[in-house]
Formats: sequence, C-alpha cells, structure tokens
Amino acid sequence: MAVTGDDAGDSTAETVFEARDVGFHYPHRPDSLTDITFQVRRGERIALLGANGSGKSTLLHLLDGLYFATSGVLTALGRPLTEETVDRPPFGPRFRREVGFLFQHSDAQLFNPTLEDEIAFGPLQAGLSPAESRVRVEETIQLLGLERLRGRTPQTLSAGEQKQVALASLLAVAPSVLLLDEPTAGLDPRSRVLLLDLLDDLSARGFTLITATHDLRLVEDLADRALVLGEDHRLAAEGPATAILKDRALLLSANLIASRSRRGGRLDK
Amino acid sequence: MNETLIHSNETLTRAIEDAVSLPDWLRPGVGAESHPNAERSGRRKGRWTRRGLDGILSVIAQASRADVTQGYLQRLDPRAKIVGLLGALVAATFIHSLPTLAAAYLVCGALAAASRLSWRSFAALWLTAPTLSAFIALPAATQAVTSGVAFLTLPGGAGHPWLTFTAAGLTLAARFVLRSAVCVTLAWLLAGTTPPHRLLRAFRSLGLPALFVSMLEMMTRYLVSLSRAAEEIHLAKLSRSLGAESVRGEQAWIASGIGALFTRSQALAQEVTLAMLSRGYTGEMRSLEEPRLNRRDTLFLTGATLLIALGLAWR
Repeated sequence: MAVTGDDAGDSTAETVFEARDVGFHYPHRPDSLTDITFQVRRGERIALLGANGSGKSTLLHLLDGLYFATSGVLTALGRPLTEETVDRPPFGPRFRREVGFLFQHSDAQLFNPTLEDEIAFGPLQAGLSPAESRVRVEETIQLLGLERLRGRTPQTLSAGEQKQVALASLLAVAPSVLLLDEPTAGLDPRSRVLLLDLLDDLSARGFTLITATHDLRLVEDLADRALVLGEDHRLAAEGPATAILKDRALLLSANLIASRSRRGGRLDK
Repeated sequence: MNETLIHSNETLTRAIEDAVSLPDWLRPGVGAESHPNAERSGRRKGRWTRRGLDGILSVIAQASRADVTQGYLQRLDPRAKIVGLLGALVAATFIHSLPTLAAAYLVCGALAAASRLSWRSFAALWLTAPTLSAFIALPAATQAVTSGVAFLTLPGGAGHPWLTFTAAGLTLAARFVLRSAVCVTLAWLLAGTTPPHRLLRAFRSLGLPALFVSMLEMMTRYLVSLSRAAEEIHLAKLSRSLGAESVRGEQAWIASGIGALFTRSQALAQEVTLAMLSRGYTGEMRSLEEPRLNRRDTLFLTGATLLIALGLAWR
C-alpha cells in the first residue's frame, strides 16, 4: 500500500475504528475486500475513494456492523466488531447510537409512514419516550429546515428530500460518527450545496465523517485524509486528501480518473 | 503495484479505442429498416397490463391514505375501533334473524356516512361482496340442497320444473348474503378509516405478537416500493417495444416480469433490513403516538357493546 505524504492524524485522539488485515468475502459474489488496514480517530474527516465495485460500500457496511469481517480484526470504539458484540448490550446499543450510516439509496433507508415517524424511529428504538422523541423530532426538523415536508410519506419525496430526511433520521439519534455512502449522488446542485454545508457544520462540531465516493470534487470539501481502494479490492493508498488528489498515477490506477479526455463525440468510422 | 495497474489501464484504453467503430445496423436510418416488427401495423396490446397495474397502484395508494377525511370513525382511537367493529363482526356470525342482520347493515351504512366514506366505494363493496356470496349461496336455495315448501319454480321443457327454490333455502341464502355483507362492511369500516400503520400498532397494543405485527408492517411498506418497481419495469419495457404485441407475448412478459420483480424485492428487503438494523432496530416498531382513550372512544365502545347485546338478544 502506498502512503502518500504525511499520514499523521491527531495521534492523541481516541481511535474510533481500527482495521487490521481485514478481509471480507460475499458467499456467492466475486467482489470482496482483502487485507485492509487503517485507523480512524475521533473528529477526523476521511474520504473512502474507489471506482465502482471496489468495495467502498462493503467497507462502510463492515464499519457499521452490518457485515462482519471474514478475516483480520476490526474494532470500533475500542471493542471488536463482531456479531456477538453488536447484538448485545451494553456495547451494541452504544455503538448503534454513536455510529450513523447514510445509505446510498435513501429509498430503502426510509421505511416509516410519515416524516415524523421516520425521524423518531431511532430515538424510540434507543429507548426515549414518545414525548422526548417528539421534542427531538421537532428540533431535528428545524435544524434541517424540513418543515415543508411535515406529514409527507418519505417514499414519495424527491431524491434530494429523501437524502435530507435520511440524514435527519440519523442525526436524531445524536451520533458522533457518520458513515456516508455517496452522499451527493443523484442530488441537484442546491441540495448538494445544502448537504455539504451541513456536513461542514457537523465536522466543525467534532463529528467523525467517513465518506465513500468516487467523486473527486467531493474530497476537498469533505475530507482531510483519504483511503484509496483499488480495483483489486485492496487498500491502494492512504494519506492526506490533498496529496492523494495530486497523485495522478495513483488516481489512474484506481480508475478514479481517465487516462485521456473525451474525443468530443467523434467516432472512428 | 501502481505501475502494473497503469499498464493494464492503458492497454484497456487502447483496446476500447481500437474497438470503437459503429456497426452498420447502428447507423441512423439503417438499423430501423431491419426490424420487421417496426413495420407491422396493429394496436399495442400492452394497455390492459398498464390498466391492471394502474388499478393495483391506486388501490395501494388509497389504502395508505385511509384517514384523509376526518369523519366520525377516523377520530376514534384505533383500539376502540378494533374492539367495537371486530366485536360486532364476531357477533354478526351468531345472528340468524334476517331483520336483525338488515338492521346491522343499516347501522354500518350510517357509520360509513358519518365517517364521510365514499359512497362509490361503498357501492363497489355492495356489488362485489354480496354478489359473490349470493353466487356461492344460490345452490343452497334450491330444493336439491335444502328441502322444504317450494317458493319459486322455474319451468323446464315438457311441463317439468327446471329448478325449484324452497322458502327455507332462500332464507338460508339470504342470511348468508346479509351476514357476509355486514361482516365485509365492518372490516371495510375498520380498514378504510385507519391507516395501516396505526391499525397494526393498535393490534400490537392489544397483544398481537411483535414479530407478526412487524412482518405485516414491513409488508405494507414493500407493497408501495414493489408496486413502484413493477410500474418502472413495465414502463421500461413499453419504451423499448416496437410495433404490435400478441396477448401471448404480453403474458409471457408478465411471467418473466414477476421473476425480475422477485429478484428486486429480495435485494430491497435486504437493504431495508440493514437500514433498520443500522438505526438500532430492537425487534419492535415503536410509535410517537401515546394512545389514550377519550370520552368519544368510551361512548363508541358503550354504543357498540349495547348494539352487540341487542343483536345477540334478537338473533
């Protein structure tokens, strides 16, 4: 694995995630992850870069305790992330409260009948009373400016609105770590700017952000450090985002940029 | 490692560049001529599939906005409605008296009116449920099944009766039809005035197992997503269809479409489950609503109990 530039983070900060030689294989699919090693510290902004199918989403699923490593060791908040630990208190509920995952397809992430129910889902599952949850729902709606969507069925919203509601539903649980899978995919320019501004604010307040994307424009906005997954499903590089973005050979090899520009629509024949 | 990858990347790029040339059939104005179906005239027969899908989608949409109007039953606590209306439904199965069943049906009509439910859907319910049950009950009204005094005889050839209905048989059939009409209407009053999620949570608070309620809740969510996926698959197919299609071809497509939809539904189900787990799902859907029975609910329950008692007294 290439380490580009100075790979320091704040070494005194608490380690949120630590992966040591982590591997993952789907039972009936060829794609997988092999020998992934990295650390994420509290408050960091990390970009997880890779071409389509490189394993970015799979890695986020592993970090959220939805899939489990088939080899190596993955720890979260100081505890191994295994089926046993994630399912059991006290670690399981704490982990679910602290780590929020914004799925790529918000349509699947939203499964409640109204906006209010959607946002209240997490707090209610965390054991807050309906009255406490209602207060939290109201504050989250105001924070994200979602008043216009009150009473609407989340499944009927536009892609941008669904993404905002999905984020609201995560924030209502008061997480400190956000895993974002292609957060700006399918968003119009205004929704994209709104989302990036919000993520900036969250980062400034100490949130740990891990963003999976193949959109390099997003990296400068959302990350200080980047991990690059190669098309061979291994970690190809790790380092400061600015240094990674300058490494053209690395970006080419990871299929994050093309080796030449478009031909302008001309075909040979 | 990077050098190897760059090398393979450049090889791939060269291969793409070498291969990019338009085949003849892709040239504008050439390819279309080679499609026999494009020249075949005839009405596209995919419309009945479209109409069927539209029908299903509108039923699902209607079911998910059951409480748009604010009538009498919509204002009641779902638990009170379940106890009152389902209690009446169970009681109706014990009632034999035709006047009592007819009175019960009138009460159902009054409740539907007070709840501002659409008369068109009420009429549709009347046409389907009792007609279907009348069709089922008709043989029981004939002398061949229920013996007794002949009430109506349909003449056959050579002066012989073709079909004889007995008074006892007709009473039996009428009872069956009225009872099923009352029961179906009571169920419709409950489902038509309560959104599915509130209804299921009320069932849960009345003691239905959490797993069962969660499964039903997720099923209602999937119905919306799946119906949308079905529509997308159908529209995608329509946009790529050329010329006339046979009904047999359309039927074959529907069969394969169901397969594609099943695959999609599996993927969707898995993603929704992961999203729920990610947000700390503990095995039970909880609600923001803090259900409390108020005076209106108590009055409804008292009235329902009284009517059920009267019905059973005059059964």
